[in-house]
Amino acid sequence: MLDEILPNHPLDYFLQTGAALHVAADGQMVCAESGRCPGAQVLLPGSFNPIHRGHWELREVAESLLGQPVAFELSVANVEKPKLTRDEICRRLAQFNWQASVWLTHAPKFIDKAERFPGATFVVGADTALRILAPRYYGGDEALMLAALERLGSLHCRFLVACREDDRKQCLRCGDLPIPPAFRALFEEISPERFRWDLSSSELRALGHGI
Amino acid sequence: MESSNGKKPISDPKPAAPKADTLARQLKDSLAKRRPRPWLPVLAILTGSVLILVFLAYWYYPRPPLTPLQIMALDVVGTTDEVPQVRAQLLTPLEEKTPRPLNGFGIIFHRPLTQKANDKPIEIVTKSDARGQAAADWPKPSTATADFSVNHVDPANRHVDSDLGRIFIWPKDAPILIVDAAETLGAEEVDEQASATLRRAAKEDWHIVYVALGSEQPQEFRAARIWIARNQAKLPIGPVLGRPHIAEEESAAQARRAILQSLKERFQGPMVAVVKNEVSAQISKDAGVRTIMIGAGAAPAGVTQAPTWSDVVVRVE
Repeated sequence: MLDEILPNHPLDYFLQTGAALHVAADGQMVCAESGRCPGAQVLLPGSFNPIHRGHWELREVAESLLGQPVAFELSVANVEKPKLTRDEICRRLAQFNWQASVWLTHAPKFIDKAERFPGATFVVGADTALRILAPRYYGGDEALMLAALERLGSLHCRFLVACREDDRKQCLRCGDLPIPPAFRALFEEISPERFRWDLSSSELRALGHGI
Repeated sequence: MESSNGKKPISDPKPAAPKADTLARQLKDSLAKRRPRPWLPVLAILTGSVLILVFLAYWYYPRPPLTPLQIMALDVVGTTDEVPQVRAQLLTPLEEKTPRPLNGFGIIFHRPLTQKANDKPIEIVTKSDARGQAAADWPKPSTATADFSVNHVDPANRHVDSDLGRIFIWPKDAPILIVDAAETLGAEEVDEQASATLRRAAKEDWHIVYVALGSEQPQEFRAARIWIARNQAKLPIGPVLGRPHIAEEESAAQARRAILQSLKERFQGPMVAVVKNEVSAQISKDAGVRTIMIGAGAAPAGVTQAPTWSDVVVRVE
Protein backbone atom coordinates (compact mmCIF):
# COMPACT_ATOMS: atom_id res chain seq x y z
CA MET A 1 0.00 0.00 0.00
CA LEU A 2 2.74 2.39 1.05
CA ASP A 3 4.67 1.39 -2.04
CA GLU A 4 1.90 2.88 -4.12
CA ILE A 5 1.87 6.14 -2.20
CA LEU A 6 5.59 6.71 -1.84
CA PRO A 7 7.13 8.14 -4.98
CA ASN A 8 10.22 6.44 -6.30
CA HIS A 9 12.32 9.56 -6.55
CA PRO A 10 13.20 12.00 -3.77
CA LEU A 11 12.45 14.92 -6.09
CA ASP A 12 8.87 13.70 -6.54
CA TYR A 13 8.59 13.13 -2.80
CA PHE A 14 9.80 16.71 -2.30
CA LEU A 15 7.25 18.04 -4.79
CA GLN A 16 4.42 16.11 -3.11
CA THR A 17 5.25 17.18 0.42
CA GLY A 18 6.42 20.28 2.21
CA ALA A 19 9.82 18.68 2.75
CA ALA A 20 13.16 20.20 1.83
CA LEU A 21 15.48 18.29 -0.46
CA HIS A 22 19.24 18.28 0.00
CA VAL A 23 21.26 17.57 -3.12
CA ALA A 24 24.93 16.94 -2.29
CA ALA A 25 27.77 17.84 -4.62
CA ASP A 26 28.02 14.21 -5.69
CA GLY A 27 24.33 14.13 -6.56
CA GLN A 28 23.03 12.40 -3.45
CA MET A 29 19.47 13.56 -2.77
CA VAL A 30 17.90 13.20 0.66
CA CYS A 31 14.54 14.58 1.67
CA ALA A 32 14.33 16.26 5.04
CA GLU A 33 10.86 15.75 6.47
CA SER A 34 8.57 18.68 7.16
CA GLY A 35 9.92 20.73 9.99
CA ARG A 36 13.32 22.10 10.69
CA CYS A 37 16.68 21.21 9.23
CA PRO A 38 19.10 21.00 12.10
CA GLY A 39 22.55 22.51 12.19
CA ALA A 40 23.59 26.06 11.55
CA GLN A 41 23.78 26.22 7.80
CA VAL A 42 25.21 28.84 5.54
CA LEU A 43 22.94 29.26 2.56
CA LEU A 44 23.24 31.26 -0.61
CA PRO A 45 19.68 31.60 -1.90
CA GLY A 46 18.87 32.39 -5.50
CA SER A 47 16.92 31.39 -8.57
CA PHE A 48 20.10 30.36 -10.44
CA ASN A 49 18.64 30.97 -13.85
CA PRO A 50 21.44 30.58 -14.74
CA ILE A 51 24.09 30.21 -12.07
CA HIS A 52 26.98 32.52 -12.92
CA ARG A 53 30.52 33.40 -11.90
CA GLY A 54 29.19 35.88 -9.34
CA HIS A 55 27.41 33.08 -7.44
CA TRP A 56 30.48 30.86 -7.44
CA GLU A 57 32.77 33.69 -6.31
CA LEU A 58 30.34 34.85 -3.63
CA ARG A 59 30.18 31.31 -2.29
CA GLU A 60 33.97 31.10 -2.19
CA VAL A 61 34.29 34.43 -0.35
CA ALA A 62 31.57 33.50 2.15
CA GLU A 63 33.22 30.13 2.79
CA SER A 64 36.55 31.75 3.50
CA LEU A 65 34.97 34.43 5.73
CA LEU A 66 32.82 32.05 7.76
CA GLY A 67 35.12 29.05 7.64
CA GLN A 68 32.33 26.63 6.81
CA PRO A 69 30.81 25.24 3.63
CA VAL A 70 28.12 27.23 1.86
CA ALA A 71 25.20 25.46 0.19
CA PHE A 72 23.03 27.05 -2.46
CA GLU A 73 19.29 27.29 -1.79
CA LEU A 74 16.72 27.24 -4.53
CA SER A 75 13.06 27.74 -3.69
CA VAL A 76 10.67 26.18 -6.18
CA ALA A 77 7.98 28.60 -5.03
CA ASN A 78 8.40 32.28 -5.74
CA VAL A 79 6.57 35.31 -4.39
CA GLU A 80 6.26 37.02 -7.75
CA LYS A 81 6.53 34.16 -10.26
CA PRO A 82 4.77 30.82 -10.81
CA LYS A 83 6.09 27.67 -9.17
CA LEU A 84 8.94 25.97 -11.05
CA THR A 85 8.03 22.92 -13.09
CA ARG A 86 9.75 19.58 -12.52
CA ASP A 87 11.69 19.93 -15.79
CA GLU A 88 12.80 23.41 -14.90
CA ILE A 89 13.94 22.25 -11.45
CA CYS A 90 15.97 19.45 -13.09
CA ARG A 91 17.54 21.91 -15.50
CA ARG A 92 18.57 24.25 -12.71
CA LEU A 93 19.84 21.44 -10.48
CA ALA A 94 21.99 20.08 -13.30
CA GLN A 95 24.14 23.20 -13.05
CA PHE A 96 25.39 22.09 -9.63
CA ASN A 97 26.18 18.45 -10.44
CA TRP A 98 29.56 17.40 -9.09
CA GLN A 99 30.26 20.96 -7.95
CA ALA A 100 28.15 22.12 -5.03
CA SER A 101 25.40 21.13 -2.67
CA VAL A 102 21.95 22.64 -3.01
CA TRP A 103 18.91 22.80 -0.76
CA LEU A 104 15.66 22.70 -2.68
CA THR A 105 12.83 24.25 -0.67
CA HIS A 106 9.26 25.50 -0.85
CA ALA A 107 10.30 28.65 1.01
CA PRO A 108 9.85 31.76 -1.12
CA LYS A 109 10.30 34.29 1.71
CA PHE A 110 13.23 34.64 4.07
CA ILE A 111 10.94 34.16 7.02
CA ASP A 112 9.95 30.75 5.54
CA LYS A 113 13.60 29.90 4.95
CA ALA A 114 14.45 30.89 8.53
CA GLU A 115 11.68 28.66 9.92
CA ARG A 116 13.12 25.80 7.91
CA PHE A 117 16.78 26.57 8.73
CA PRO A 118 16.92 28.14 12.20
CA GLY A 119 20.36 29.46 13.00
CA ALA A 120 21.24 29.85 9.33
CA THR A 121 23.37 32.56 7.83
CA PHE A 122 22.00 33.73 4.49
CA VAL A 123 24.49 35.11 1.99
CA VAL A 124 22.67 37.74 -0.07
CA GLY A 125 23.30 40.73 -2.30
CA ALA A 126 22.50 44.18 -0.92
CA ASP A 127 19.55 44.42 -3.35
CA THR A 128 17.98 41.33 -1.75
CA ALA A 129 18.67 42.70 1.73
CA LEU A 130 16.90 45.88 0.67
CA ARG A 131 13.81 43.85 -0.26
CA ILE A 132 13.86 42.14 3.15
CA LEU A 133 13.68 45.62 4.70
CA ALA A 134 11.07 47.08 2.35
CA PRO A 135 7.56 47.35 3.90
CA ARG A 136 6.04 47.04 0.41
CA TYR A 137 7.01 43.35 0.46
CA TYR A 138 4.88 43.07 3.61
CA GLY A 139 1.76 44.60 2.08
CA GLY A 140 2.99 48.09 2.95
CA ASP A 141 2.80 47.31 6.66
CA GLU A 142 5.96 48.37 8.49
CA ALA A 143 4.83 46.57 11.64
CA LEU A 144 4.77 43.30 9.72
CA MET A 145 8.28 43.96 8.44
CA LEU A 146 9.50 44.62 12.00
CA ALA A 147 7.74 41.49 13.24
CA ALA A 148 9.47 39.47 10.51
CA LEU A 149 12.86 40.85 11.54
CA GLU A 150 12.04 40.08 15.16
CA ARG A 151 11.21 36.49 14.19
CA LEU A 152 14.40 36.17 12.12
CA GLY A 153 16.38 37.33 15.14
CA SER A 154 14.61 34.93 17.49
CA LEU A 155 15.44 32.10 15.08
CA HIS A 156 19.11 33.17 15.32
CA CYS A 157 19.36 33.82 11.60
CA ARG A 158 21.56 36.51 10.11
CA PHE A 159 22.55 37.91 6.75
CA LEU A 160 25.95 38.26 5.16
CA VAL A 161 25.46 41.06 2.68
CA ALA A 162 27.50 41.57 -0.49
CA CYS A 163 27.69 44.94 -2.19
CA ARG A 164 25.54 45.33 -5.33
CA GLU A 165 25.25 48.07 -7.90
CA ASP A 166 22.00 50.02 -7.64
CA ASP A 167 19.96 51.78 -10.37
CA ARG A 168 22.30 54.80 -10.23
CA LYS A 169 25.34 52.54 -10.81
CA GLN A 170 26.40 53.15 -7.22
CA CYS A 171 27.62 50.35 -5.02
CA LEU A 172 24.83 49.64 -2.58
CA ARG A 173 26.45 48.64 0.70
CA CYS A 174 25.15 47.24 3.94
CA GLY A 175 25.59 50.66 5.57
CA ASP A 176 23.26 52.17 2.97
CA LEU A 177 20.40 49.89 3.91
CA PRO A 178 17.53 51.25 6.05
CA ILE A 179 18.12 48.72 8.81
CA PRO A 180 16.10 49.53 11.96
CA PRO A 181 18.67 50.09 14.74
CA ALA A 182 17.32 47.21 16.81
CA PHE A 183 18.14 44.78 14.02
CA ARG A 184 21.59 45.99 12.91
CA ALA A 185 23.19 42.85 14.36
CA LEU A 186 21.29 40.71 11.88
CA PHE A 187 23.20 42.17 8.95
CA GLU A 188 26.93 41.91 8.34
CA GLU A 189 28.78 43.21 5.32
CA ILE A 190 31.21 41.58 2.92
CA SER A 191 33.44 44.50 2.01
CA PRO A 192 33.43 45.52 -1.68
CA GLU A 193 37.17 44.85 -1.70
CA ARG A 194 36.47 41.19 -0.93
CA PHE A 195 33.55 40.80 -3.32
CA ARG A 196 31.59 42.79 -5.82
CA TRP A 197 29.50 41.47 -8.67
CA ASP A 198 27.24 43.78 -10.54
CA LEU A 199 25.50 41.54 -13.04
CA SER A 200 22.47 39.51 -12.07
CA SER A 201 21.22 36.32 -13.74
CA SER A 202 18.43 38.28 -15.45
CA GLU A 203 20.93 40.80 -16.82
CA LEU A 204 23.09 37.93 -18.04
CA ARG A 205 20.05 36.35 -19.72
CA ALA A 206 19.31 39.68 -21.36
CA LEU A 207 22.90 39.76 -22.62
CA GLY A 208 22.49 36.23 -23.94
CA HIS A 209 25.14 34.73 -21.66
CA GLY A 210 24.96 31.33 -20.04
CA ILE A 211 26.85 30.03 -17.06
CA MET B 1 -26.42 -39.15 83.10
CA GLU B 2 -29.69 -37.74 84.37
CA SER B 3 -30.73 -34.14 84.99
CA SER B 4 -31.66 -32.80 88.33
CA ASN B 5 -35.38 -33.35 87.59
CA GLY B 6 -34.67 -37.03 86.72
CA LYS B 7 -35.31 -36.73 82.93
CA LYS B 8 -32.86 -37.62 80.16
CA PRO B 9 -31.38 -34.64 78.21
CA ILE B 10 -32.82 -33.95 74.67
CA SER B 11 -29.48 -33.90 72.77
CA ASP B 12 -27.16 -36.88 72.19
CA PRO B 13 -24.49 -37.15 74.64
CA LYS B 14 -21.17 -35.58 73.52
CA PRO B 15 -18.74 -38.28 72.32
CA ALA B 16 -15.78 -38.85 74.38
CA ALA B 17 -12.92 -36.33 73.65
CA PRO B 18 -10.32 -38.82 72.38
CA LYS B 19 -12.72 -40.07 69.66
CA ALA B 20 -13.37 -36.51 68.38
CA ASP B 21 -9.66 -35.84 68.15
CA THR B 22 -9.16 -38.98 66.10
CA LEU B 23 -11.95 -37.98 63.73
CA ALA B 24 -10.52 -34.49 63.33
CA ARG B 25 -7.09 -35.89 62.56
CA GLN B 26 -8.56 -38.31 60.03
CA LEU B 27 -10.45 -35.51 58.33
CA LYS B 28 -7.36 -33.30 58.19
CA ASP B 29 -5.25 -36.12 56.73
CA SER B 30 -7.89 -36.90 54.16
CA LEU B 31 -8.14 -33.24 53.09
CA ALA B 32 -4.37 -32.94 52.84
CA LYS B 33 -4.29 -35.99 50.55
CA ARG B 34 -7.14 -34.89 48.30
CA ARG B 35 -6.19 -31.17 47.81
CA PRO B 36 -2.73 -30.64 46.23
CA ARG B 37 -0.76 -27.66 47.47
CA PRO B 38 -1.93 -24.79 45.12
CA TRP B 39 0.94 -22.25 45.35
CA LEU B 40 3.17 -23.90 42.72
CA PRO B 41 0.76 -23.82 39.73
CA VAL B 42 -0.53 -20.42 40.79
CA LEU B 43 3.02 -19.09 40.79
CA ALA B 44 3.67 -20.64 37.37
CA ILE B 45 0.48 -19.12 35.93
CA LEU B 46 1.34 -15.73 37.41
CA THR B 47 4.89 -15.82 36.01
CA GLY B 48 3.60 -16.87 32.59
CA SER B 49 1.02 -14.09 32.54
CA VAL B 50 3.57 -11.47 33.54
CA LEU B 51 5.94 -12.70 30.83
CA ILE B 52 3.17 -12.54 28.23
CA LEU B 53 2.25 -9.03 29.36
CA VAL B 54 5.88 -7.91 29.22
CA PHE B 55 6.24 -9.38 25.73
CA LEU B 56 3.05 -7.68 24.53
CA ALA B 57 4.13 -4.36 26.02
CA TYR B 58 7.53 -4.72 24.31
CA TRP B 59 5.89 -5.67 21.01
CA TYR B 60 3.36 -2.86 20.96
CA TYR B 61 5.45 -0.13 22.60
CA PRO B 62 6.05 2.56 19.96
CA ARG B 63 9.76 2.44 19.31
CA PRO B 64 11.59 5.40 17.74
CA PRO B 65 11.91 4.75 14.01
CA LEU B 66 15.32 3.65 12.78
CA THR B 67 17.27 6.31 10.94
CA PRO B 68 16.77 5.48 7.28
CA LEU B 69 19.60 3.90 5.34
CA GLN B 70 21.21 5.96 2.63
CA ILE B 71 22.16 4.91 -0.85
CA MET B 72 25.54 5.53 -2.44
CA ALA B 73 26.16 5.02 -6.15
CA LEU B 74 29.61 3.64 -6.89
CA ASP B 75 31.65 4.80 -9.86
CA VAL B 76 32.18 2.25 -12.60
CA VAL B 77 35.19 1.76 -14.89
CA GLY B 78 34.83 -0.51 -17.85
CA THR B 79 36.37 -1.27 -21.22
CA THR B 80 34.67 -0.74 -24.54
CA ASP B 81 34.27 -4.55 -24.79
CA GLU B 82 32.32 -4.85 -21.57
CA VAL B 83 28.71 -4.34 -20.59
CA PRO B 84 29.04 -1.87 -17.72
CA GLN B 85 27.64 -2.98 -14.43
CA VAL B 86 26.34 -0.18 -12.24
CA ARG B 87 26.60 -0.70 -8.49
CA ALA B 88 25.24 0.88 -5.37
CA GLN B 89 25.72 0.42 -1.66
CA LEU B 90 23.32 1.02 1.24
CA LEU B 91 24.89 2.82 4.16
CA THR B 92 23.89 2.60 7.79
CA PRO B 93 24.02 5.87 9.71
CA LEU B 94 27.43 6.66 11.15
CA GLU B 95 26.18 6.72 14.75
CA GLU B 96 24.62 3.25 14.47
CA LYS B 97 26.87 0.65 16.08
CA THR B 98 24.67 -2.45 15.88
CA PRO B 99 24.53 -3.95 12.41
CA ARG B 100 21.08 -4.36 10.89
CA PRO B 101 19.92 -6.46 7.95
CA LEU B 102 20.67 -4.71 4.69
CA ASN B 103 19.11 -7.19 2.29
CA GLY B 104 15.83 -6.89 0.46
CA PHE B 105 15.57 -3.12 0.10
CA GLY B 106 14.19 -1.76 -3.17
CA ILE B 107 16.96 -0.24 -5.28
CA ILE B 108 16.17 1.44 -8.59
CA PHE B 109 18.83 2.32 -11.14
CA HIS B 110 17.82 4.87 -13.73
CA ARG B 111 19.07 7.67 -15.92
CA PRO B 112 19.69 10.85 -13.95
CA LEU B 113 17.10 13.64 -13.91
CA THR B 114 19.39 15.67 -16.11
CA GLN B 115 19.31 13.20 -18.99
CA LYS B 116 19.01 14.59 -22.45
CA ALA B 117 15.49 14.80 -23.82
CA ASN B 118 16.21 12.30 -26.62
CA ASP B 119 17.77 9.68 -24.29
CA LYS B 120 15.65 6.58 -23.86
CA PRO B 121 14.53 6.32 -20.23
CA ILE B 122 16.07 3.43 -18.31
CA GLU B 123 14.75 2.01 -15.06
CA ILE B 124 16.11 -1.17 -13.51
CA VAL B 125 14.44 -2.28 -10.30
CA THR B 126 16.41 -4.60 -8.06
CA LYS B 127 16.89 -5.50 -4.40
CA SER B 128 19.89 -5.15 -2.11
CA ASP B 129 21.84 -8.25 -1.04
CA ALA B 130 23.05 -9.14 2.45
CA ARG B 131 25.97 -6.72 2.08
CA GLY B 132 23.55 -3.93 1.18
CA GLN B 133 24.82 -3.90 -2.38
CA ALA B 134 22.90 -3.96 -5.63
CA ALA B 135 24.19 -4.20 -9.17
CA ALA B 136 22.68 -4.21 -12.63
CA ASP B 137 23.86 -4.37 -16.22
CA TRP B 138 23.63 -0.95 -17.80
CA PRO B 139 23.38 -0.13 -21.51
CA LYS B 140 26.73 1.00 -22.85
CA PRO B 141 26.74 4.81 -22.93
CA SER B 142 27.45 6.57 -26.19
CA THR B 143 30.05 8.79 -24.52
CA ALA B 144 33.21 7.91 -22.56
CA THR B 145 31.67 9.30 -19.38
CA ALA B 146 28.04 9.13 -18.33
CA ASP B 147 26.10 9.58 -15.12
CA PHE B 148 23.60 7.15 -13.68
CA SER B 149 21.27 7.58 -10.78
CA VAL B 150 20.15 5.16 -8.10
CA ASN B 151 17.19 5.45 -5.73
CA HIS B 152 16.50 3.69 -2.48
CA VAL B 153 12.88 3.42 -1.42
CA ASP B 154 12.09 2.58 2.20
CA PRO B 155 8.28 2.57 2.60
CA ALA B 156 8.42 1.63 6.29
CA ASN B 157 10.30 4.82 7.10
CA ARG B 158 8.61 6.83 4.34
CA HIS B 159 12.04 7.62 3.00
CA VAL B 160 13.35 7.96 -0.52
CA ASP B 161 16.86 9.06 -1.41
CA SER B 162 19.05 8.92 -4.46
CA ASP B 163 22.63 9.31 -5.55
CA LEU B 164 24.60 9.91 -8.73
CA GLY B 165 27.37 7.67 -9.97
CA ARG B 166 29.58 7.86 -13.02
CA ILE B 167 30.40 5.32 -15.69
CA PHE B 168 33.78 5.56 -17.43
CA ILE B 169 34.21 3.54 -20.58
CA TRP B 170 37.80 3.45 -21.77
CA PRO B 171 39.63 1.53 -24.52
CA LYS B 172 41.23 -1.72 -23.39
CA ASP B 173 44.70 -0.33 -24.06
CA ALA B 174 44.10 3.04 -22.36
CA PRO B 175 47.04 4.24 -20.23
CA ILE B 176 45.85 4.41 -16.64
CA LEU B 177 47.21 6.52 -13.80
CA ILE B 178 46.04 5.33 -10.37
CA VAL B 179 46.30 8.06 -7.76
CA ASP B 180 45.91 7.38 -4.07
CA ALA B 181 43.77 10.42 -3.31
CA ALA B 182 43.74 9.93 0.45
CA GLU B 183 47.52 9.70 0.69
CA THR B 184 48.81 12.06 -1.93
CA LEU B 185 46.47 14.90 -2.85
CA GLY B 186 46.45 16.97 0.34
CA ALA B 187 44.03 17.36 3.21
CA GLU B 188 42.30 20.73 2.79
CA GLU B 189 43.51 22.25 -0.44
CA VAL B 190 44.63 20.32 -3.48
CA ASP B 191 48.41 20.08 -3.73
CA GLU B 192 49.18 22.51 -6.57
CA GLN B 193 52.03 20.36 -7.84
CA ALA B 194 49.75 17.34 -7.89
CA SER B 195 47.17 19.32 -9.79
CA ALA B 196 49.73 20.43 -12.41
CA THR B 197 51.13 16.90 -12.85
CA LEU B 198 47.71 15.29 -13.13
CA ARG B 199 46.40 17.85 -15.60
CA ARG B 200 49.49 17.37 -17.73
CA ALA B 201 49.05 13.58 -17.60
CA ALA B 202 45.38 13.91 -18.59
CA LYS B 203 46.38 16.05 -21.57
CA GLU B 204 48.77 13.28 -22.59
CA ASP B 205 45.78 10.91 -22.61
CA TRP B 206 46.37 9.20 -19.27
CA HIS B 207 43.10 8.11 -17.72
CA ILE B 208 43.03 9.00 -14.05
CA VAL B 209 41.60 6.66 -11.42
CA TYR B 210 41.35 8.03 -7.86
CA VAL B 211 41.59 5.54 -5.03
CA ALA B 212 40.23 6.52 -1.60
CA LEU B 213 40.81 3.72 0.88
CA GLY B 214 41.90 5.76 3.87
CA SER B 215 38.76 5.33 5.90
CA GLU B 216 36.68 2.36 6.93
CA GLN B 217 33.63 4.62 7.12
CA PRO B 218 31.71 4.90 3.85
CA GLN B 219 30.60 8.41 4.82
CA GLU B 220 34.24 9.46 4.78
CA PHE B 221 34.67 7.86 1.38
CA ARG B 222 31.74 9.98 0.21
CA ALA B 223 33.40 13.06 1.67
CA ALA B 224 36.57 12.23 -0.29
CA ARG B 225 34.53 11.80 -3.45
CA ILE B 226 32.79 15.13 -2.93
CA TRP B 227 36.15 16.78 -2.25
CA ILE B 228 37.50 15.48 -5.56
CA ALA B 229 34.32 16.54 -7.38
CA ARG B 230 34.44 20.02 -5.88
CA ASN B 231 38.04 20.41 -7.00
CA GLN B 232 37.37 19.39 -10.56
CA ALA B 233 38.91 22.61 -11.81
CA LYS B 234 42.21 21.36 -10.38
CA LEU B 235 41.83 17.62 -10.72
CA PRO B 236 41.05 15.85 -14.00
CA ILE B 237 37.82 13.91 -14.07
CA GLY B 238 38.08 10.23 -13.16
CA PRO B 239 36.34 7.51 -11.19
CA VAL B 240 36.77 7.50 -7.43
CA LEU B 241 37.11 3.93 -6.19
CA GLY B 242 36.75 2.89 -2.56
CA ARG B 243 36.59 -0.39 -0.70
CA PRO B 244 34.68 -2.90 -2.84
CA HIS B 245 32.76 -4.29 0.15
CA ILE B 246 32.06 -1.42 2.46
CA ALA B 247 29.78 -3.29 4.85
CA GLU B 248 32.45 -5.86 5.64
CA GLU B 249 35.66 -5.63 7.54
CA GLU B 250 38.15 -5.38 4.75
CA SER B 251 41.57 -3.86 5.20
CA ALA B 252 42.82 -1.06 2.98
CA ALA B 253 45.51 -3.44 1.72
CA GLN B 254 42.94 -6.08 0.67
CA ALA B 255 40.84 -3.43 -1.03
CA ARG B 256 43.86 -2.02 -2.87
CA ARG B 257 44.81 -5.50 -4.12
CA ALA B 258 41.23 -6.10 -5.31
CA ILE B 259 41.06 -2.79 -7.20
CA LEU B 260 44.48 -3.23 -8.84
CA GLN B 261 43.73 -6.82 -9.79
CA SER B 262 40.43 -5.82 -11.37
CA LEU B 263 42.07 -3.03 -13.38
CA LYS B 264 44.97 -5.26 -14.45
CA GLU B 265 42.59 -7.97 -15.61
CA ARG B 266 40.56 -5.61 -17.74
CA PHE B 267 43.04 -3.10 -19.13
CA GLN B 268 46.14 -4.00 -21.07
CA GLY B 269 47.72 -0.59 -21.55
CA PRO B 270 50.44 0.99 -19.41
CA MET B 271 49.50 1.46 -15.77
CA VAL B 272 51.16 3.69 -13.18
CA ALA B 273 50.25 4.06 -9.51
CA VAL B 274 51.19 7.06 -7.35
CA VAL B 275 51.20 6.37 -3.61
CA LYS B 276 52.76 7.83 -0.51
CA ASN B 277 53.53 4.97 1.87
CA GLU B 278 55.69 1.89 1.65
CA VAL B 279 52.93 -0.67 2.19
CA SER B 280 50.79 0.79 -0.58
CA ALA B 281 53.88 0.95 -2.81
CA GLN B 282 54.71 -2.71 -2.17
CA ILE B 283 51.13 -3.83 -2.92
CA SER B 284 51.02 -1.83 -6.16
CA LYS B 285 54.37 -3.17 -7.26
CA ASP B 286 53.38 -6.74 -6.40
CA ALA B 287 50.24 -6.28 -8.50
CA GLY B 288 52.50 -5.62 -11.49
CA VAL B 289 51.83 -1.87 -11.66
CA ARG B 290 54.70 0.56 -12.16
CA THR B 291 54.72 2.44 -8.87
CA ILE B 292 55.92 5.90 -7.90
CA MET B 293 56.19 6.68 -4.22
CA ILE B 294 56.06 10.32 -3.19
CA GLY B 295 57.89 11.51 -0.09
CA ALA B 296 61.06 10.82 1.83
CA GLY B 297 60.20 7.32 3.13
CA ALA B 298 62.28 4.36 1.97
CA ALA B 299 60.71 3.06 -1.21
CA PRO B 300 60.61 -0.74 -1.64
CA ALA B 301 62.90 -2.20 -4.28
CA GLY B 302 61.56 -1.69 -7.77
CA VAL B 303 59.49 1.37 -6.79
CA THR B 304 60.44 4.78 -8.19
CA GLN B 305 60.88 7.44 -5.55
CA ALA B 306 59.79 11.06 -6.12
CA PRO B 307 60.28 13.64 -3.36
CA THR B 308 57.26 15.70 -4.44
CA TRP B 309 54.50 15.64 -7.04
CA SER B 310 56.52 17.91 -9.32
CA ASP B 311 59.14 15.14 -9.50
CA VAL B 312 56.58 12.63 -10.69
CA VAL B 313 57.11 11.78 -14.32
CA VAL B 314 54.27 9.78 -15.76
CA ARG B 315 55.39 8.13 -18.94
CA VAL B 316 54.97 4.91 -20.83
CA GLU B 317 57.85 2.54 -20.14
